[in-house]
Amino acid sequence: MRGPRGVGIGGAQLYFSCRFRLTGTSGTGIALRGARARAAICVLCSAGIIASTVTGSASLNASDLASRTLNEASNSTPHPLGPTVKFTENAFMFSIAQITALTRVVQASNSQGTSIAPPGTHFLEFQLEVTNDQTDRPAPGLPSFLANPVISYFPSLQFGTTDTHCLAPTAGNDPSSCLYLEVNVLGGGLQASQSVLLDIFSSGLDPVPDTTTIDAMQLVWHEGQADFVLPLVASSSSASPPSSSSSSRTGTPTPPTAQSGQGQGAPCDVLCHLGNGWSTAVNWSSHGALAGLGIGCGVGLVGGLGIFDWATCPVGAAGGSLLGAAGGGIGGFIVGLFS
Amino acid sequence: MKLPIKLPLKVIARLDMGLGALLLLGGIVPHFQFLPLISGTAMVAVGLLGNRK
Repeated sequence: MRGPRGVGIGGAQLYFSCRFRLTGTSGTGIALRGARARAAICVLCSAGIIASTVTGSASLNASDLASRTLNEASNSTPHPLGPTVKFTENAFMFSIAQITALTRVVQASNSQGTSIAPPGTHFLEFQLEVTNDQTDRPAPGLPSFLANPVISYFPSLQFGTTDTHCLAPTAGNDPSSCLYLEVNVLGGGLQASQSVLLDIFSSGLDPVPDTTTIDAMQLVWHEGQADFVLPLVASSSSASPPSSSSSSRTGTPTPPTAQSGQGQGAPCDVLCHLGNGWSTAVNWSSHGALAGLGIGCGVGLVGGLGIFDWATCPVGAAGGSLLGAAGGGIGGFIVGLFS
Repeated sequence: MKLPIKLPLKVIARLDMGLGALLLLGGIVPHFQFLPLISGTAMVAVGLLGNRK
């Protein structure tokens, strides 16, 4: 259950729990006695309501942004990895959590603002090659990063941050002109899954925006001695002519390949499906538990007021969270299993 | 208004604690997530309260 739906319910429950439970008396004798215990229940219910509302809103915002980005792109093309990587005309987005599930290499494990992948463990690199889309050769004046276009970003990335890097000056030595790669880590806070939005743009003097194509862009990540490569943009031979101020173009994506190691690009095996099921079950279950906690508590409060005589807030909260968590977990597991 | 069934509070509370603990585990494995930790903690706390009765 998402936040906006929970706001109305939650507001009423918050009012009832704090207004009546603290002043009312138990009609059944099984409610906790004492103002301190009732206050604890009130705080628990309130925390659940607020948390579910906040997280639901954050999830909706992130998914809205993703949908908008994809819908605005006229040539968005799904990557062979399915929903994990999406192309747009000048940006693409992938889900760290999904890539984690598929590769079990990249760690997207922190929602408190620390690095996604600490240095020395796993990290991502982006390789870019910029060519002139008329001649399919390096655009004149572009610097030597083309020869060794490996840029590491992940050790410095944090959730909810935007990192902009100047890849190359676009007009000689003018420091104000640059071809930028912007790495925007969406979400953060209480969200269970995170996404990264990459965007290519330029500033300063301008022949590059109309003459440059991102010819090759790939994710490279390492684990131990193995290097994995996932092409994100294929050859520019099929790229469309530039039509806007954007400097990037995407071609037809090619299937991912592994330089060494195993697993990258392979179909999702049984363990992979189980991993997806587990992650989705936990995510859905936590939403369901919080929503059920509030709803059950509210039902119990009605009992405390004497309308019902079968439950009080502790019973309702325990039962509600149990039902919500179980229902969300089962549903999430089934959905995640087939994702 | 009374319901015809009597809810076993302790059973519910213990199930709640168990599922809450599972949710806590899910908040750590395979990677840290904040939301399952919150909801799991809340479930365990509510279960503990109910189990005392």
